[in-house]
Amino acid sequence: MKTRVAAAAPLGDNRSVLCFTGVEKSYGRIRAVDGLDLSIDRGEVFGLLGPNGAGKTTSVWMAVGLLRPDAGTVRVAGEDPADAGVRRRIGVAPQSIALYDELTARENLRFLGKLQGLRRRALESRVDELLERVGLADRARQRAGGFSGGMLRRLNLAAALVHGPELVLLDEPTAGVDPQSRHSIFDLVAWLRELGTTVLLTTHYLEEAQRLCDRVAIVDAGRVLELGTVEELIRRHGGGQRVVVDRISGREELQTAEPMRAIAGVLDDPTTLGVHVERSNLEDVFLALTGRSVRD
Amino acid sequence: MRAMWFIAMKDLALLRRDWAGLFFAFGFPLLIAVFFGVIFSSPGESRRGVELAVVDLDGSAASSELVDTLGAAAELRVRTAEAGEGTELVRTSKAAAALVIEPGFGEAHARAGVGEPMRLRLMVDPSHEAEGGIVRGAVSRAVFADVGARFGAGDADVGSGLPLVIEQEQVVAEGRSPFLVTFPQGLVWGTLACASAFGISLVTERRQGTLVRLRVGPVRLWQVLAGKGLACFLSILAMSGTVVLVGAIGFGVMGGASRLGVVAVMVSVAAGFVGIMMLLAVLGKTEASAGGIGWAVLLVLAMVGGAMVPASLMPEWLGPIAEMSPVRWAIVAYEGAMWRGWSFGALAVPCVKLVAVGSVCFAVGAWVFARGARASL
Repeated sequence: MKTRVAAAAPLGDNRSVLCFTGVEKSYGRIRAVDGLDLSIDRGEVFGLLGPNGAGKTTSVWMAVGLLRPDAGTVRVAGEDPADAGVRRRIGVAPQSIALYDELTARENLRFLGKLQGLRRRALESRVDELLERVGLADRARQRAGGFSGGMLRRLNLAAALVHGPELVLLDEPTAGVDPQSRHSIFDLVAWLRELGTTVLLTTHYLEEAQRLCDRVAIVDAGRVLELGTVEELIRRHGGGQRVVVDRISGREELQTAEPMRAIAGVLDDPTTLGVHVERSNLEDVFLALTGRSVRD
Repeated sequence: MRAMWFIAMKDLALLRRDWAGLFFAFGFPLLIAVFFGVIFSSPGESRRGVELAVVDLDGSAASSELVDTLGAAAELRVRTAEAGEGTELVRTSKAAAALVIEPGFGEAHARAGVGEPMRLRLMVDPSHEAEGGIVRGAVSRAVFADVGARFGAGDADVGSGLPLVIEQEQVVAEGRSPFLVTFPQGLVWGTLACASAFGISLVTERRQGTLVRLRVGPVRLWQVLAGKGLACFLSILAMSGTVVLVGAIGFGVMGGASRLGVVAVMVSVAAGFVGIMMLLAVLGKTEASAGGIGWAVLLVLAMVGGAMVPASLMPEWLGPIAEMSPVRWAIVAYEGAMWRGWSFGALAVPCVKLVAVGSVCFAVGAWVFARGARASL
């Protein structure tokens, strides 16, 4: 059973669905976002990757119009996201779980769907579909207050999608979830991509960004440090491949453009226990750009 | 043991961080104790006094003397009234009690303690029983001081029998019951409970993040607040309707009531207290402090408004403040509609006050709440 909710009109013909131009935002003396320029294309899964305090959540709140930038503009399909009509086409899954503990999973989704203008069969069908998608169909009649962290996170995500938004903002969607829920959320993002939904995903999990995102912006201290596809970023900043050698004395990493030659060099060493080749990843990119780990 | 100690210390640290909760745990009881202590202990402070209407049907020198003595009593505020007027003054709340000096009082006074006793009739508003007791005390003191002095001076006409009988009656229409007093008060306390739950739910909405969830939908903040206010308004109406229905069926409280008047009062009281609670809720950071603040303020309003302590015991300067208590307006309005037989014009005064104050409080509370919601992102 698949329902593509068609309550909202398309977000215009613009190729760019979400656009930040010279955006600045401060909280008192703390500058959360410092000259953010980003353009996210239709149907793209875009990752904002950065450590805590990088300005990711602030950017999400500005994208949905709840926060006004101090300078610059935020546009959704060329329009102000503070406008209720525009906001209706956006779905947000906040970082903190935002559900009613005393309502069941179904009641939570039904209530939020009604607020978004869905009615009767379309609403019920959509709720059923989403509960199935996030693996909570058999828990539909249970109160959210009794759910595990992972189940809540999945329901939180489903709540953002109930009205079939064309732009979905996921703020740290997998923070603190179990592997099963993590995979379920990954599948959901993949499904959104299939549907052609534009997704902005903030995360500080590099694996998540690498696996899910078409393009990634690496942000730190409110600024975009680098932007591109994962492959582009690794090519530019990752330093190629590295040979990892496990010795009796410990692990050693050799950065090299010719891994086979490096492997040949260590195989004769009697202290070598094992050797393998690793591709550079976003962690290496982040390290190269900031001089520290994303989790620092 | 160490674990218990650590948990206790953690909870105290949490309390210390919640300024509103801390104030209502430590500061507020102290404030209340000092405030009401000062009110009740100032010896030179003039009290408002119990409003007493005196109807002298005897017209003798003895009855005039009693009127003068009562007029000089510090705890009473005496006004003379014509025959039949006393009941009306009590019924319309213009006097807490009316004392009727029956014909024959002078003759009985002359032969105090011998034969027929002096007869007085005390008519008391059922919601002012405490004031009725004060009047009885003052009257007894006046009569017995006089009789005692005469007996001591060897007045031959004074005997040792019962010199005085005070017959007390409640001023309510025929067939009415004491439930007429308790039901309006119950309605107001129920309203306070519903309003308090509303205040707490507002804080919960903010704390559990669902307020943000609602705001990112196509819903404006004022719609969220109005929706929550509407839920509280409807719950107060449902509670009031149930209480009135039970009162009508089981206790006859709607016997002579103006049904339309009662409905109008229900709506006004609900509107007023939704607004007041909206303002109080924004002061609380946590559910506990929001609930505490709400109840604390409403209790003070109830106390000052005379719902817990007779207004006549309050100092005179507190009188105008007591008249400004919405709890008082609500009780007076319910009583007016249910058994005092107030006209719509008379009912309109407390009802309009409640709606006006509720509207202002709701607007100010919503503004503060909106500011807080923006800042909390």
